[in-house]
Amino acid sequence: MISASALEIMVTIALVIAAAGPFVLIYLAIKDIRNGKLW
Amino acid sequence: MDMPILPSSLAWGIIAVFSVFWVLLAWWLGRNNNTLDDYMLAGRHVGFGFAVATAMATWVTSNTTMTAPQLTYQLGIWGMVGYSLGAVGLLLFAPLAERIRAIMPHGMTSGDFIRLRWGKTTWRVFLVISIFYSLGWLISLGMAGGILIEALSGIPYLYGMTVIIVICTLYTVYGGLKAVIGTDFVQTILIMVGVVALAIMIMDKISFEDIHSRLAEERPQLLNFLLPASIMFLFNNLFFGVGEVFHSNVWWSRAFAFAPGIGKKAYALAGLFWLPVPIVAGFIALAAPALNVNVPMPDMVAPLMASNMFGLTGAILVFVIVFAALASSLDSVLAATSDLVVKDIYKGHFRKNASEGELRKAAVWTILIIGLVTWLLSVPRLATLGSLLHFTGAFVASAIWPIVIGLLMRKGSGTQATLAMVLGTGLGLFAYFEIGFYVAALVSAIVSFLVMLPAMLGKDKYDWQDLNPENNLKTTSDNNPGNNPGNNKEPQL
Repeated sequence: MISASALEIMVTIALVIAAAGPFVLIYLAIKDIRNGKLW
Repeated sequence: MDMPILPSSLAWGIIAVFSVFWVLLAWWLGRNNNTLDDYMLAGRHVGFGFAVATAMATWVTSNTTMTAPQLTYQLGIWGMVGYSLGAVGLLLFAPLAERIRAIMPHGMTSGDFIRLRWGKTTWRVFLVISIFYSLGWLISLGMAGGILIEALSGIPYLYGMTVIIVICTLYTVYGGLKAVIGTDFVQTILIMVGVVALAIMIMDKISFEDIHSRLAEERPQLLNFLLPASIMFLFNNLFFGVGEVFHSNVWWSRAFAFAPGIGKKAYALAGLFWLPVPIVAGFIALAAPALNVNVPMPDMVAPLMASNMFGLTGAILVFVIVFAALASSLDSVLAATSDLVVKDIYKGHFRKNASEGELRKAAVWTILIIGLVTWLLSVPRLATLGSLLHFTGAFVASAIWPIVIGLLMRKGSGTQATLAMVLGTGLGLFAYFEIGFYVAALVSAIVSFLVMLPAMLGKDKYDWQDLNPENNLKTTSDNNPGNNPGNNKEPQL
């Protein structure tokens, strides 16, 4: 059986990665636009 | 849910705002679509940012946001971990996407590859598998839209399902793949922000200790690492996800559309960002017992949790997340299936000399017809979302090995590839009905592997240049048959 702390660690790591996603995507898109490489 | 939390007028308002936005964005993005490549493959130079977003958004479907919590509620920890293994499909496809772009610079569909690599019989079997899967995916998306909109807002299933299919069909027709990718970017941001916000709101209400102790008390099997059905589900989902990504034109068309050198890192990063989404969404379901939320229908656990715990805010949040998730996948499957039908069926079987203009018109009509067929098949609610999705697992997993071996090795024959697909699908379906949905893809992939095993041990015989007949690369070998060492060299990657 998984422990409460293991569950917390797993969900927290997932949450941090998921939260970083939108920022990274916006950064990459802005970089592409600046370099004229969006399409 | 007896009383919808979201007033239907508000739900219609949200739908209207997003629909107008998607259609206008699609029109704007697609205004410079001049060639067939522009329309079907976004000009073949999609940059890194949009590439990651579209791969990510397409893979986050309503099934991720609704079925992942459902499976977590039914199968526990392994349900959400198993679902997150869907990311492996994207991660493993990353190097293949790069290779596909390099060895077939003029390719348009996954069907092109199968036809040129394995021959016409395999190609036709593959088309049946791929189109059946695409329709299954489209129907599950249409149904999910109708069910969710009805559950949250009271808007009848038929109206909700109709509006999501019509809007996605409209903007895909207007802008082609550029519209699909552009809207995917916005939708990815909405989905990720929404899912993370919902999870944080739940964590603010209750501690992990409380969630864990309540589960241990009431439903300890959900915390069990060794629940047999869950473990089988985990491996099944792994093969299912890999089969879905490896065979589907949704992913191949993106491999062709991304700028050279982008495919590998775009799919890898998309996989990394996708991996936590089912875990975060599944966590929402795990908290249900501790928060005393009554869940009469497991496939509604996420919206029930959100609306019961956070009222109007939660309902709006889930509504926007699922609306974006539905649209981001529905448009992609519509566009990719249309490409497959136009290129491999219309041109490949009936109009071999069709001009670019004719194919462009055919693509528009095909998107409209596929939208209509999806609507017609979604009207009766055929099966639960999970079952419908996993029914196609037997089909797609059978294509894994013919595609992997076909892309990486010069070995094997069309007969072996055809047999792998037919036997894998057949025995996978047998397992689906005799054992359960959670083994169909697993059995199919194993059978397909066993059939292709002798091919891996056989002789090198395929000429990579046959993948690019339009390049006329065989001029030298035509003059000097069998005496061109370049023919069998690895393509430059």
